Amino acid sequence: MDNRGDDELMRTIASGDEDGLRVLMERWERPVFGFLVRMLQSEEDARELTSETFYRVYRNAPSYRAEGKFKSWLFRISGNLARSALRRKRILRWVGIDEAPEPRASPSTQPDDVLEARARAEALEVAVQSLPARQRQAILLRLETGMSYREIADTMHTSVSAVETLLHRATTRLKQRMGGLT
Amino acid sequence: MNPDGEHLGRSVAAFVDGEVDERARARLETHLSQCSSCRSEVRDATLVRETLSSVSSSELSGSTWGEVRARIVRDRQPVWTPAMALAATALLAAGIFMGSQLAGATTARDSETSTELWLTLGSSLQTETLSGLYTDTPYEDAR
Repeated sequence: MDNRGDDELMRTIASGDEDGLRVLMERWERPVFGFLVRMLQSEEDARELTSETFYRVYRNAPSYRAEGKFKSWLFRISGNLARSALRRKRILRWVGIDEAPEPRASPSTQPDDVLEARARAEALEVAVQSLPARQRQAILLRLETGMSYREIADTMHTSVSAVETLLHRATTRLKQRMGGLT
Repeated sequence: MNPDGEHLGRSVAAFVDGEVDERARARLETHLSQCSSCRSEVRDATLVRETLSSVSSSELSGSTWGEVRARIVRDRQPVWTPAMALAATALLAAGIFMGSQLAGATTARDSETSTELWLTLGSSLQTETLSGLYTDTPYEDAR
């Protein structure tokens, strides 16, 4: 296991060391993918954007400022890519080229209460998709990466107070959806 | 943050996420102990968080390292930009033009003159090249 910190690895990447990027990817690829899957509801798109995120990490390494905020910087890249992809998908859907994402299927050989909980979770997951992109980004950064409000604010280039508002609005919307499920 | 006695409002999410400081938390808890409406808000928000957290994350099958590295390697290779392609085409065209001009000049003379011309040109080039390469050789004296 490589004990070098993220900022140190970024310095080696900036000097052209590909191995530093490989180590960073071992550390961060799965959280980035998990976040992107829930943002986009498509494993195929998430995989493509995960690859794009780390390619951009490599390309932008020389301009990276080592201030101990690598996680925020990384998820800013993937968040921006996800929001661009969502905008593109929405436009395609408007013009009737793309289809709305299908909710993920669940196996049916489970006890009723488990099935109910799963149905509720899936319905909420669909509800997350109906949130405005920034609300969705904020709540998934919290859920998938465990970021603090401060880190989310850094990632999204906004204030802690704005993050609080985004998460409050997202939670209120989701609660309304939940109201029909409980 | 909400003063004492007011509902939690937009602080519900921050409260559930543990993102309020100790003093604010104590104040909000005091309010919650007296307000069933805010307790209900907090309970629902907690349920939303727990339900969403229960969704298992998708697992990435195989790393994308290979794809990323292939792009990096590709970037290092020289790329034909449109400007470079245009320059190469212009050079080629100029070469063809000059070649055709030279061929035209050659056909205008008789073959003997042409041969003499090429021999003179070749000899001159050879002498210049060799004298350039071996400036202190006997070729200088031989001229």
